[in-house]
Amino acid sequence: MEKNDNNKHMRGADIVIGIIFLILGILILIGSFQMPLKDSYGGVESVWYVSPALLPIIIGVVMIMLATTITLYGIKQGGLEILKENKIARKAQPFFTEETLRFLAVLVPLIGLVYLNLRMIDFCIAVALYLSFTIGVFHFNNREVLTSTLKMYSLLMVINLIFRVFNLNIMLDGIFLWFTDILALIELMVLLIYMKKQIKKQDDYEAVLKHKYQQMMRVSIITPLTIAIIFRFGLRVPMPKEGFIMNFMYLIYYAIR
Amino acid sequence: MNVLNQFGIFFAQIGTILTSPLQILLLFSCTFMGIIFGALPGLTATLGVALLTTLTYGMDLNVAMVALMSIYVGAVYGGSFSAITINIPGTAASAATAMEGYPMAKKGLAGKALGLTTTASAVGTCISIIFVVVFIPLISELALQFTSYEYFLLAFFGILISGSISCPDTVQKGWLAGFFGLFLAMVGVDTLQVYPRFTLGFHALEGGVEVVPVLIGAFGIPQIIQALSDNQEPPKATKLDKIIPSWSVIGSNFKHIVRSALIGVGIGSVPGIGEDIAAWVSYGTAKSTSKHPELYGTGYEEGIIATEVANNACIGGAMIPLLSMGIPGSPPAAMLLGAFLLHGVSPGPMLSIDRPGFITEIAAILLLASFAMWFCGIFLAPKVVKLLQIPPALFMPVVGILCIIGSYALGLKFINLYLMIPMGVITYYLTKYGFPVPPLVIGVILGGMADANLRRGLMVNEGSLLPMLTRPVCLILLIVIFMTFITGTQGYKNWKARRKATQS
Repeated sequence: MEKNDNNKHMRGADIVIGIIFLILGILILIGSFQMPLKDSYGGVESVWYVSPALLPIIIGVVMIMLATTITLYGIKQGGLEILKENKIARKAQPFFTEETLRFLAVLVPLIGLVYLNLRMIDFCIAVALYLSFTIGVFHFNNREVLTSTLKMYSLLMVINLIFRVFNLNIMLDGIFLWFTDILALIELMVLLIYMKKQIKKQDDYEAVLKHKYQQMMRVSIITPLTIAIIFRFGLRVPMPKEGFIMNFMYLIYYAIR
Repeated sequence: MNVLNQFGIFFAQIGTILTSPLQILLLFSCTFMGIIFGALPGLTATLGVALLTTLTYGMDLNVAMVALMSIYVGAVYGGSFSAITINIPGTAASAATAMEGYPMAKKGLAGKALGLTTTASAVGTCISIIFVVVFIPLISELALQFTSYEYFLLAFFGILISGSISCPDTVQKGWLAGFFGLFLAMVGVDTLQVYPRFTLGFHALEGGVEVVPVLIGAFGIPQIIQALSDNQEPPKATKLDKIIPSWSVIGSNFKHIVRSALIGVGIGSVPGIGEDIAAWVSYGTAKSTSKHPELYGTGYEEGIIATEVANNACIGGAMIPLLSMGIPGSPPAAMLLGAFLLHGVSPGPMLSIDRPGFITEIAAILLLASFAMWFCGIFLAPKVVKLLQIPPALFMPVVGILCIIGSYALGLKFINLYLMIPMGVITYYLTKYGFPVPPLVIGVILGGMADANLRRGLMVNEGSLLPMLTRPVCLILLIVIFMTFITGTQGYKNWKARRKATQS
């Protein structure tokens, strides 16, 4: 029964994904026909079979054919009805279902780390910020904590985004060294205190959550330091941003050496 | 004589590795790390090899190969730990093992089941090594006769067959994933005319989409999303007392072992088909040919042997097309290809000329890794089982960080990171809706080879495609591609169903 439902659900998705790939195939073809075909390129007279567009054209055509087949198969197997049913069912549900919230709680910190924090905050602090949030919300496994902490984390990321967009981090780092890192450290503290307050409200705080909070703290602090030591001092890989903590580690490293 | 020579070099290589304390240390530690990677649900052999690749960047080639091959062997075997003790396969390759292993554990025979998987896996790897030593030089010699068209068709065949076999739903989805991978390989400056293709004006994309970050994104990010979204506490592992090697059971199942090893090597040598398919095919074959098929599913030793021998024999099988033609036989082998290229090794028919002894060195490492795996499996199993109690919420975010730093460390490019996340999200949705990942990865890897060889072939033959029909290997490949395509179409399936109905 469950397998059958999953199969029906898949036919609906086939139509959507099929159409996306169909559009991609058309875009590939359009892009390919803008490449030099048999005319001259870079001052060299060319023939059709050395054209850089040759394989992309084949790929575009095949993708269009396969995407059309998958879409038609989806329609034939009742995919359109499933899509309609899903649309009605979605209207009856709240926008932020448990599944959506969890998905966002995985992606928001990951996107925040890669596209925002890694370039502007010291590697260790950026990673600690990511880990404390991600481990925290999933390890506590409590919807109330997840929702409120996700809101708080998103707010912190909006602050960082404003800094990045207006280059405030560069400007303020120029006035006061490590300003952005210290700001990120404050953000980390705020997040940790906020999470602690949230879990303290829960009934199972003393029995379960307190211990989980300590585990989260340990992993969030030890992991970035260990990775930084292995990659920076062991493998000589420069970290994406070496700021306050990394420079402190250099001081220790050279003092030991 | 040539084969005897190969074996002579093979044993000499074993001696060389055994005299290096660093390599022995790496052999055991990486095998154990591989077992942990395989055992923890959500972490895979491919991800293990991918993350270790970044750590081996500064190592010597020989040392790096010991580390990478050991983690590969360990991870393929490690999946059986969680399959047997908590009924959650650590890797897809061990899903079939859970069918017999968990019922055995419920009977209080977890130690015996793990002993069987350990010994069967070691035996499977050892048998596959014979094929590596014997067949790779022969295939390499044959591949030396290949022209550009053969390579183009091989790449095309690899994508099609991997799409056909690894797809859980309609085969068209597998092919579409493969062609999407091919498209990704087209991004960047074209090698023949230096024309920037699909770069959208971004200079950072001119270098193309790098294989390792794509692999880390495709195999790491979806696992993180899945594991954290589900966020299930690991079930309590069954009690484990003593691991029993079970040599006598292995000895009495000699026929099954040979058959499963052949299945593993055969499936492994088909481009892009992984250990999971080898295990299921072997399990199915063992059940259908068994004298007691009714005992399957109740904790039958024969079933465990069939799956574990096959999935580990697949490692050697996957090495055959990888080392002889540069075409990876499985997803972890695809990652190994990326690692080889990073270390300046170009697998293919010229490998035995460019780097004599490299193939036998790989075989020697595989043999030693299987010993290390057996040792770790028998003596350190209780430690691994304890690790299974770590909740995914604690280790998956750490894996995410390793994926990020791993992608960044290869070339110190932010573009690798920026591509890794969308790649991971796309792969997550594709997997969720029945599009397989292996053909996509194979497409990315073989795209460059397909493009360059198609155009080179056309240039040599002044635009003529006729040699594809006149050269024997080309013709065979064309027929196989045609048959793969035809048998995958709905029309063929309908015709087959009608024929079956008429006959019955």
